[in-house]
Order: sequence, then C-alpha cells, then structure tokens
Amino acid sequence: MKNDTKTYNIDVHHVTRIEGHGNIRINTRAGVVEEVKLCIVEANRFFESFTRGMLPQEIPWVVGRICGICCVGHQLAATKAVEDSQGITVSPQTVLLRKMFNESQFLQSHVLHVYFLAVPDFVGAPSVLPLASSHPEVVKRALRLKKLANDYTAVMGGRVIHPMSNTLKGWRKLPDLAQIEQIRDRLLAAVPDVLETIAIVKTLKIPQYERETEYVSLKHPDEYALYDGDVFSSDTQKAVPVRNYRWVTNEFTVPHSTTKWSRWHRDSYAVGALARVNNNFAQLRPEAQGVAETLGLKVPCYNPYMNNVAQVVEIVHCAYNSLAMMETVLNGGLQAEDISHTPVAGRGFGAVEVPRGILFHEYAFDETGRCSDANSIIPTSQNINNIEQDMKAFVPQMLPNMSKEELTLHMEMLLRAYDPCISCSVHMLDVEFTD
Amino acid sequence: MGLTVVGIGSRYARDDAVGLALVEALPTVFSGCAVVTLLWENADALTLAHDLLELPGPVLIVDCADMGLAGGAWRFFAMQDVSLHPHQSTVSTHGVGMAEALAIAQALGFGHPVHLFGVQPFDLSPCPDLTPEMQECLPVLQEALVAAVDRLVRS
Repeated sequence: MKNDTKTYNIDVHHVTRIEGHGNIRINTRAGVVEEVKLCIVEANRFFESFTRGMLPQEIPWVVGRICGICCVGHQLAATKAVEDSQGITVSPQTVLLRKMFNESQFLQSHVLHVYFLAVPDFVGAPSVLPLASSHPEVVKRALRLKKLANDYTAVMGGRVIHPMSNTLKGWRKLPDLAQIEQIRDRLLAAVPDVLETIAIVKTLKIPQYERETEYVSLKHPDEYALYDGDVFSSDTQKAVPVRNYRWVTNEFTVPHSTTKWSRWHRDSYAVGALARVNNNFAQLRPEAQGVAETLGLKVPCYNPYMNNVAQVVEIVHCAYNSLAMMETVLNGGLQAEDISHTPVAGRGFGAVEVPRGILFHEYAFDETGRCSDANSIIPTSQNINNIEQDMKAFVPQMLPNMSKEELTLHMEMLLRAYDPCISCSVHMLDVEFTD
Repeated sequence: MGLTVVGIGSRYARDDAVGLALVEALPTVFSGCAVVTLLWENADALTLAHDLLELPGPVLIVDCADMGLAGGAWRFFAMQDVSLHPHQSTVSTHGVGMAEALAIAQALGFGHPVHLFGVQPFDLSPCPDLTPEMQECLPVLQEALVAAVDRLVRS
C-alpha cells in the first residue's frame, strides 16, 4: 500500500480498569501523522489528603490501599518516608525482611504481567482464556508461579493483598521460619517452571523498534537496587538522593491528561524493569544475567517492547536472590524487636522500586505528631509521557508498512509492554476506525 | 469423591464475608458423609483458578453475589444452569473475576460439578463486620445452606 493513501483515525477509547481512564488517539492523513496522543482522564483519588491528621504508624497501611497489585511497594515506600521523618533507623533484620517482602511482590506482579497480559499478544490470543485451551501447560505454569509468589507475600506480610505485618521499626508479627522454609523449598522446586518461562519468552517475536531514552531507577553501590538507593539517570550516569526526588520528576500538566507528567533531562524518561536492568545490569544475579543473554537483552537496550523480557530477567533475579535471603534468615533466625514509637514533628522521604518503576513517598508531621503534608508519585505517572513519546516516534516509522489493525495492535502492545496500571485494561478496548 | 464446600470473600468488606461466615459455621458431616470445608479469603481470581484445579471432586462455592435481589436473599444453583459471561477481551490484572476463574479452570481440565450458594449483600463498603441486617439473616441462611449441602451429599 502506498504511504500517501493512509488516512487513519484511530480512537482507542477508554483504556479502562485503571483508577480512571485513558484513551489512545491517532490521526493520520494521506500518510502524514497529524496527532498521536495518550489521553489520561482518570479522576483524582485524594489519598494524600486522606493521610492528613493521621499518626505516623497509620499511614503505611492506609496508603497501601492505593493499589492492590503494588500494595507492598506503597506500604514500604511510605514506611521508609515516615521513618525518615521520625528519625528512625531500622535493624539489618528488618531491612532483610523488607527486601524479601518487596521481591515477593515483584514475583507476583511480573508473573501476572508476562503470562496473563503480554504472552497472549505474542501468540495471537485475545486473552488468557483461549490461551488456557490452546496452551494449557503454559497457563498451569503461570498459575503455579503466581500462587507461589502470592504465598510468599502472605508468609512475609500476613496476607496476600494489603498485608499488615510490616510497620515502623520492624514487624508486628515476625514471619514464621517454618513457613519461610516451605516457601524456599517450593521456590527451589519451581526452577523448572522458571526455566520453561524463559523458553517460552525466547520464542516470542518482539517488535523491532528503538528510541534512545533516559532510563531512571534506584541505584545502590552494593546490590541490584529494588529496596534502597539513590535516583540514577542513564543520561548523566549520576544519582541524586531520594529527598531530592522533585528534581527528577519535575511534574507538569498537559491538557489531555489529568495525570501529571514527568521529565528530567529530556522530554520524558522511563522507569521500570528495562530501566533497572539497563542501569544496574552488573548487579543482577549471575543467573539473571545469563537469562538476559539467552533472551537477547543487551544493555543499553532502547526497545520498550523488551520491558517484558526485562521482567523475566527480574523474575529470575528475584527468585535466586530470595533463595539467598531465605537461607540467611533460616540460618540466623529472627529476633523480636521493639516497635514502639512516640510521634514527633518532621519531614521524610522514601522510595522503593516497585514492578513498574520508582515509587516516591513524602510525609510531614506537625508538633502534635499528626500528618500535615503528603505526596506520592507513582511509576505510571512517570512513564505516561514516555509512552506517548514512544508512540509519536513509532507511528511515523511504522505507518508505511502497517495496516490500521497492525498499528492498533502494536500501540496496545507498546502500552502493555510498560506494564502501567492502565495496561491491565488495554485488553478490553473498543477500537473505532473512522476513515 | 466427596463434596468440598468453599467459602469465598474478604473479611474487610462488610457482607463480602458472608460466605466465610456461613462455611465456618457449617457442620462437616452430612448424612454420615464427611464434607471438606475450605475458606478462601482475599484470594485473587487467578489463585481461585489454581485452587479449583486442586480440588478432587464436586464443589459448592458459598459467596456473596450480586443477583439483583433484596439484601439477604439467597439462591442455590448449579453453575451449568446459569450464564456467567467471562469477558474474553477483558482478562487483565485487575479484571479477573469468578467467571473468568471458573472459565480458566475449566479450560485447564477442571470438570467436576460446581454449585453456587449465593447471597445478595446489603453493603460492601470497607468494614470488618457483616452488616446488622446480614447478621440477622444468618440463621435462615445457615439453615438453607445446610439443606443445600445435604441435598448435594445425597444426590
């Protein structure tokens, strides 16, 4: 088809099942791209306002409710920020348990995204339901891995969704060592499932598209940064402390989005699995580095579709890293700690990596120890701008060789590749073409 | 294989916990036959699909269900007698429900009969207790559930 015949009006309306809605709008006329927009029309949820007047101990449990998928990450980022505000330093035991807790969430979320959202695209299935009939072993494996990761979270936090065991200064109820041992044994037994996951992902045909991007993630001198570190840019190869996170996010508004957008050294930046792997590859577990090589992920990688592959690399990293942390806990045991605390005035900052990227929390407390100010910036709001920039670069590149259907599919896949909270809804899009 | 009765719900969303409350109070022997009772709390639907595959025989799910009835009303039916519509295009991180969980499990080979004892909620707002109205209904609901289980065990 000749390029100059391509007049498309693509309106992917209501990318739903997020906390709000988003639309994809693409208009081309006679082969010329006139408009590419990712419109976010989600409503404010006012969680930051909810926290005002609360005591420091209450906040992590409340803000964990921001998301059912990233509840662990919100709780940990808030816990760290509140502890920072209160001048609390936690023990190595608590840090270790929190790292395990966080990685359990990575395993849950990445398995869910790779198998239930991404893989159906690549095998031509509209969702996991037909995939269950055509590839039952794949779906059974996914369910087994998801169940294992869920149980890991429950052992660490007391329950799968919105766990309650973690608190300021430590653990309200320490995880049970016998249960950790069971999870360790199940994780070891799950290695064949993980290897099969790698084999499946290796067969997927990843779209070939690249756009040089600024990747932002936490960075830590001693480890692959998921729980702690400074905020690092691939552009400058430098990091800033978490307390200066507003230098990074530089939030601004655009008329077609109720979500604030972010930018740092360029028009936009990306966070998430690919950003982390790009920035911290050398600190991945050797097993995960090997998987990256097997799957053709060479850093720096500028193909956003490879974020799914980076998620698989992180599944392997978290599985082996968790096994090592479990051994440490099982060998050393756990000691009850004093978690009492009298609130004081102060302001604090916290950040953790969650599956979709860096999550920032900030809280201030007045002289009565009550929360007077709060701020939370989630990964999706940092990524939205970059997704639109990717779409703007992708459409003119691919327009000459793609039909409307192919273009729409690739836009949806691009959105899903980032695994934003809105990705969960892209499968239920009604796609409307008006020629 | 014997019947497994599964109570599903969350204890933090008022009447969503009614299935848990009913199954917790259920006897485990009916007409001389042992009935296995399970509580699946706060489980996401993919976990439900996984756990259904582990069940060895017929299952009765006791759950709060929006059936367009008055609060506290109940219905007992075989899944095959109703039309659940798993949304082929909507399966997603946040969008997997009971219908999808059943559909996934069945596509993966779960072939045992499934019955549902559904109770219409009064209120599902975030709160750890059943509504007072639902608590008043519990004796009637318990009696109806016992009769339903007894019927399944005898059949």
